[in-house]
Amino acid sequence: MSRKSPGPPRGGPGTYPTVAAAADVVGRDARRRRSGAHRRRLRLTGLRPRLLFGFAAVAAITAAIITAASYFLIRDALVSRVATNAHTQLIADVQANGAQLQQSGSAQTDTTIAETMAKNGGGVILLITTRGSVASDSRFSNQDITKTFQVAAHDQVVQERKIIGGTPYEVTGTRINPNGPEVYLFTSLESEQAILTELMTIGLASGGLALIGAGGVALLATRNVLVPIRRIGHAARMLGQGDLDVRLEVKGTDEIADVSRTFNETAEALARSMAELRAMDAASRRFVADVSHELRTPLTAMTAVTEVLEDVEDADPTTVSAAHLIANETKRLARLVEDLMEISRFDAGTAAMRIEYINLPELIEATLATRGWTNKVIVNAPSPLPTKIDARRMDVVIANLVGNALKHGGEPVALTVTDDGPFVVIQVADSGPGIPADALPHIFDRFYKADKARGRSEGSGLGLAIAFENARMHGGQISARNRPEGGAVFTLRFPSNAQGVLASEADAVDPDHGAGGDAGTTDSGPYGRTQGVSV
Amino acid sequence: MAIELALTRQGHQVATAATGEEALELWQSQRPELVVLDVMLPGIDGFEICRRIRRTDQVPIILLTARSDDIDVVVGLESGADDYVVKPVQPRVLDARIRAVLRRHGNGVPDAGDTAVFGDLVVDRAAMTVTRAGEPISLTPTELKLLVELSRRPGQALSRQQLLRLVWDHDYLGDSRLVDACVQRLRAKVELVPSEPQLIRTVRGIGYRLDPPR
Repeated sequence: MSRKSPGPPRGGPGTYPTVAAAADVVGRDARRRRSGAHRRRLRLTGLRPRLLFGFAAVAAITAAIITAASYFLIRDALVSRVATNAHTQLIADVQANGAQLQQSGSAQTDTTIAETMAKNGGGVILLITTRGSVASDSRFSNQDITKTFQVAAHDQVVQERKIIGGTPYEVTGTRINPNGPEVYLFTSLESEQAILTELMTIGLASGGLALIGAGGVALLATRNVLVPIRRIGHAARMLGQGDLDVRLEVKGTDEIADVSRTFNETAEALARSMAELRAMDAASRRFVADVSHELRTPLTAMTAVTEVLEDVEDADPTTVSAAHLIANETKRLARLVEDLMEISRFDAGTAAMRIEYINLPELIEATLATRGWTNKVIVNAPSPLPTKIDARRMDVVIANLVGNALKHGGEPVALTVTDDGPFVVIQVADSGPGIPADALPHIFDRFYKADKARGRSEGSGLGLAIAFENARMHGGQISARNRPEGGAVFTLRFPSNAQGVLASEADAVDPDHGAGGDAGTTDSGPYGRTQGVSV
Repeated sequence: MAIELALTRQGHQVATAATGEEALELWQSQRPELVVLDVMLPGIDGFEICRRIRRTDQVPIILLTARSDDIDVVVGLESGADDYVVKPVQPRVLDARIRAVLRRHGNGVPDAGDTAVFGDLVVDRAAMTVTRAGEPISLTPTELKLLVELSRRPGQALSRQQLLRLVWDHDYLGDSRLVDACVQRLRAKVELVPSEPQLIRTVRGIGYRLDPPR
């Protein structure tokens, strides 16, 4: 039944801005999530690793210095004690057994003497005589004495440290007489070595413990610093997102407490100035509402009697035209005040939705017919198109869009309804000059008039703003653009199932619901009268 | 004042009262064909007057309400008003509503010898009377008209919009709460158990239907 629209393409490009806007929102969300993850990721340049590294370095260096110093000190002390003892021992041995050794004539005796000396002194004795070398322990021989050491031992007692068979020894040596037998004492440093090894182990262990301790302290310190910093960061983000009630707990007297206090004061000041701005805004809105309300009472009375003025025909022409002017302007003023009150209801949030089951094409037909536009608008709509909307508000939206198109655009005006799944798209296209590019962003602003020259047009200048708010209440939106082939097109997109209290279900209880398959027996439903729209 | 002037120009005879008390006195003494009632009245408010009139009389009542006070509409219709007009009043709209309500009162063109029977409920569309088990039921013109329109299409669901056009002469964008409120009042009078209606059924998402009881 619907007549084909000759002009504008259906659906298509008109849906663009909405889709693009949705994609933009998704993109922004994803970016926010990504940046959040970035914020939480452990950064190598962050405060925590830096502090951790610093503390660990201090602990490691300290432990290393202490261990090294004590190692060298203790080693020197131990070695020099051993050396002194060995020195004393050797001299005592030589004094005790020197004479006997000089008289010895055989290797056999030498060995016996060496063993005796070794027994007294707690070491290994190596004797080098003209007969050769004997040792109290067979593992040792004159091979273990270097030539230089032997030469040095000729006229004094000399000592050197030497590793023989993997064990360190303090070698003390001397010659009893010039050209006499040489005596060498090998004192094992094994126990000293063990002590030093143990010291090293203890040093390493305590160093490790110090590292762990330092790490713990570093983590604790960073925690103490980072947790408040993170809290401040979080609070700052909340503040940025508009939560002006966010405050920080001020603990202690440190720098972080200072920052927290400053933050709280800033947030307080911000909240105060926001509240002041809001109060001023609310006051000015309330003023508009009050003024409109006060204006309405006398205007109601005046509009009720404008017909009297319109019927003035028998007076002189000046009076007649004056009367008609007053009648028309009074009506216009009344409309303006009504629009202002409607806007102030939106601002105050007191505008209520009354959702009903509505066959949209039928509503459009009624909207156009009521205003005598039926022959001026080419409607292209599927039939039927059941929706759940506020009939009065949708009527206002469509009437404003079509009225705007007729007034500023010019005929023919094409109204196209597209069923887009959960959404309904209504496009109103005109054949006028289109909307100036600089006016496009402001077209839905209150009292904005694209055509300044036509400052005193019939409208209140609130029509599109009211249409926009009404669309928003339906969970929809209106966008405006110019068609490439000329003329402006307004696209209204709203969910076909508007959210809100369903009027019929809210007002009337439904006691016999489900009384048994009775809904199916209805042949003539709510849309039984007119299927679709023919214009 | 302004409404009085406008209605007089439309050819009505108008008597006005400034307060609720005056209105009740005026109604008693003048017995008007129709009452136009502003909700905001000094003294007894419009709803209370509506209720008091309804106790004894089925005279048509049209309420004047402000659109911002949506609850007024609901309360007003519950207290028994036949129709309402939102302020600021356009005289032509008010006049059209008045004439529509009066048409209902004047019973329009009676259907010759037409009687519908739903169980023990008898709707005599010629005499414009409704009886239940022989006992006459007193209905306001609007309630009667609604019942008659439903009884003309037994078993057929009528949408709220259709009923608004048929009964109230409203255009497409009429307030469907008029229908709901009137159905509630009608049920209270004709149903045996108004909370469990057997005659006037709700058709969910559509409207109402008059069924012969099973």
